[in-house]
Amino acid sequence: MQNPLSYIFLFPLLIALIMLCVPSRHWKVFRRFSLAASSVQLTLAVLLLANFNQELRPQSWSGAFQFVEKTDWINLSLGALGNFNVQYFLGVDGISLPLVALSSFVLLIGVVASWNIQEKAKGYHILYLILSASIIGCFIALDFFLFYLCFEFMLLPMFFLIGIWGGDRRSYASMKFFLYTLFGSLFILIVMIGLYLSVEQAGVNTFSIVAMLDGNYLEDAVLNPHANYEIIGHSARALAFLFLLIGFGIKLPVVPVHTWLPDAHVEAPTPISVVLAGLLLKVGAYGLIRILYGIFPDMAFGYAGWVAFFGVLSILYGGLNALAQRDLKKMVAYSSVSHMGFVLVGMASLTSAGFSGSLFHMISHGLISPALFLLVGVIYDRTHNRLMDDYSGLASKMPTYTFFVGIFFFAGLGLPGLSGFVGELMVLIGAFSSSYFGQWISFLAVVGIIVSAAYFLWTIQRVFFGRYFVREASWNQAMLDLTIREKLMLVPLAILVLVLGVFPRVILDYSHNTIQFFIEHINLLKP
Amino acid sequence: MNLEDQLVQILSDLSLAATETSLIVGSLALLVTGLITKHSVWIKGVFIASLILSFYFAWDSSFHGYFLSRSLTSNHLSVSFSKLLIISTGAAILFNRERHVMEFYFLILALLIGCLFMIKANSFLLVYLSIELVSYVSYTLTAFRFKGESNESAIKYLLFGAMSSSILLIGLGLVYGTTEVFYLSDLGSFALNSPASQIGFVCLLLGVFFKVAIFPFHIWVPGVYQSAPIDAVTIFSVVPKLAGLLLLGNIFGSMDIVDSHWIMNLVFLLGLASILVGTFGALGQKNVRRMVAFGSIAHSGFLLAFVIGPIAEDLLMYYAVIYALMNVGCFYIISHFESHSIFTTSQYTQFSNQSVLLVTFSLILISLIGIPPMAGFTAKFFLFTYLWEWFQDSGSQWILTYLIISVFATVVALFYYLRIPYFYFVKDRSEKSELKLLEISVLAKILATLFGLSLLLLFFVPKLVV
Repeated sequence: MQNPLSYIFLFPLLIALIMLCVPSRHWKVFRRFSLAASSVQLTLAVLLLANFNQELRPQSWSGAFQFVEKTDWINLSLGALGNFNVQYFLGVDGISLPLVALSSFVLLIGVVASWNIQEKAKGYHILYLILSASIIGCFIALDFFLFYLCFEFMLLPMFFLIGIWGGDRRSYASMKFFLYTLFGSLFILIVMIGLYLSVEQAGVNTFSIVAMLDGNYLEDAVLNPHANYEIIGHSARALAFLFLLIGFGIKLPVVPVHTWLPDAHVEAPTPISVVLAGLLLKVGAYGLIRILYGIFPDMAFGYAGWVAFFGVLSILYGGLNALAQRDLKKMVAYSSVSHMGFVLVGMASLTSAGFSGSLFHMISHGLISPALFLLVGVIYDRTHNRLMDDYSGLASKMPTYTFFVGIFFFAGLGLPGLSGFVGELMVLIGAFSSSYFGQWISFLAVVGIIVSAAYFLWTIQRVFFGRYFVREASWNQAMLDLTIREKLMLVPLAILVLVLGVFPRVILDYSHNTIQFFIEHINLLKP
Repeated sequence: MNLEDQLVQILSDLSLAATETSLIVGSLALLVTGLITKHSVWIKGVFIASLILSFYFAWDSSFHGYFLSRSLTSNHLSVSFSKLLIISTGAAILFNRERHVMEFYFLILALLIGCLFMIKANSFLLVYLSIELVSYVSYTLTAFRFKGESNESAIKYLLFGAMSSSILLIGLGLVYGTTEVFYLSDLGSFALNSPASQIGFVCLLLGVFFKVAIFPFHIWVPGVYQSAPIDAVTIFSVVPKLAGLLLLGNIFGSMDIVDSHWIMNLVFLLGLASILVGTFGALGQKNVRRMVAFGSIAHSGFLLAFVIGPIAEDLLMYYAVIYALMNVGCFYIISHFESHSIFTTSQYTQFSNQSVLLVTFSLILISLIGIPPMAGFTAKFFLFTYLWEWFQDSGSQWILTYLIISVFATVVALFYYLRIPYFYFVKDRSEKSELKLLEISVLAKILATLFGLSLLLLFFVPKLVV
């Protein structure tokens, strides 16, 4: 098939356009449309995985990407300012392809999770498809402008999805989410403009991420590493590094700019929490790898200690917060903050193991956290209550449910044999072998694992074991075990978590060569 | 040159000013029509015909240079702006269903004439006259309905206007008196020679800032926008503002002024203050029109950067077109809600049957904020690129500050512009109050959707404008 990336990117938008023309009273039609779009996306992603050349050993970034598509999109002459040149430039490498596959899978799960949404179904599914296109677009865009477009365009559908279909405090949560992430992306916007005016391809300024990765800087440009340009007494590249760190850090999220996440998660409807935790956080992490570490590696060495510090701060702070929560969903949300800290520590180590670990942990968390939110959604659907104190001994009433809770909680706390373990292990190997920050940081990360074990196990003990008890007698009839639809979502996730835990090579084979090249490339630019 | 030669010269030059002349003739014809008939069809017909005629001349004109003894100048940008101003005026009036008496159309034409002269003015005399013409027409239009509110803001407007026009006059007098320069194109570095001429130059700028609504001359804006007839407000927010900006562009374009000069610093400071006052002022507004008014003050600040820096015609033109499109579309939709007495943002919870219109409205508001994928983002993106490039060339910290503040103003803008979709889509509707049923014609919805879609289209294909 020609141009598979365009299909996977634009197909949902096409379906959304078709949905616009369907009258809104046929609410059942829309979910079928969404299901079709997501299934096509997943099929395409599987085809991509099958046809991807894992053996490719890149020599430069321009040769690192596969399935490349490139056409001129906007080409304007701006007089004295030169040309304004945006390309429709797509491609995947060993880092982005697993994320594309993850996205299409989680998005499909999300559609199944939204099966029962009746209220304003048309709007919901159209927004959902726009969201899914922009998430995929982020992972495959190789033009910074296109990347930024997708990065920003996620916010609008997300704002409405949380704001219209969310819980009681949805208006507050959606606004907070929008403001925080927009604030972050403006930092990215400034750096994007700087990079555009500093990087050239064939003599003209370009947004091409590939040219930026390869470092085709114009002489004397602000962000040229050899120009040593200073803004208000600080190195321009250091400022750019900091800006990107803040921008993607808010999206990741890193403590102390994480506060939008618990609110957004708690108020979002279950399917949106699934997408939010599973994919949106990964977009932030992907931005860090691709843009921050890819384009500004020379700064990364100097700031590795700080990045790792914030990573470990997220691990511990997120973990301790999760320990203190009474609301199940909030507990899961804070555990996401904690897990994203591992991703950050892995990157900060600047080692091959660390980066592979980060990527693997992203994928693994992209499977575990949707499952956790689905599991919380199961109980919320039945009783509209998520407080841990109101339940006890659910295992006796809902054995299958408890079984899945067991799998995913243990995966979350990093039990060997499940995917969570591999990611954390590799990150820690990277962290301990890294010479760019102190061992105490890696040691604290290990402490973070113990904290995560504490809150997951304690929750299981309080809510699922012991004598059966629910706060209101009327809930007793509602406490039925999983339905077919719920199993349909949880079983594939559980299988993948198991498979990745036992055969991590499924992912690592894809990313191995790219990450090797990435590390070599970074080390060349070591100051 | 003897008198006859001069007259021949003037007559032949008049054909170069056909755009403006045709409007003057049109406005006279409008007066005559008003005497003969009271049928609004005829009056509107003459109005439209003169706009079309003048647009045709603007379209047709290829002359670039000075004419009418150097008191007017024409270049590529001013011709493009003339077209934009004529179209915006036409759109603002035609899309509005309200019927007016002949005097209203006459005043609108007079306003447009003033603006067209403003963007081509080269002599101080014409600068002053065109600004005065626009100002007086604006005062009258503001009070056109003779309602208490509008009278109050018209009087305020008049007082501020009188003050600023005297400042302008002092400025022109000082500059002319100290440098004997009477034409903008001769300004060069003369105006910077002595302290007196510098003060005169600053006064000249401040006088023009009044029309563009730059801080501290923005105080009239919210009141006037809130109480004037809405089609007049649409025009106020676009036509005189863009005309004033281009006048500033002509002034700065002919000045040899370095970026570190204190006058430049002052201008940067006032521009920054406009952005801050506009964005933070809008936060506290409940009335939709006032909110958009403050937003437009911030946009004046953004647009100001284009005209005080190195010339970037295409970028300025793109921003101007998008700005006009956004404002005309925005006020068009607001006018429909106002006819159902929806005036404040929180009143958007009072109905729930206009989702299509609200989606379009949201698109336009998102464009005003400057978030992709709307053309407002591209416009702002060009502004940021422009500022960065300018900073790279000149190294002035003011430009960097300008860049950073304009970028982060977006976050605040998000907070207030998004309030309307927020109240309609997100906010809980209390059970007690009954929902209104708004009836808005299909034609109106289609027109509004066209505004939204064209902003979307211009994001993906910006080539249509530049």
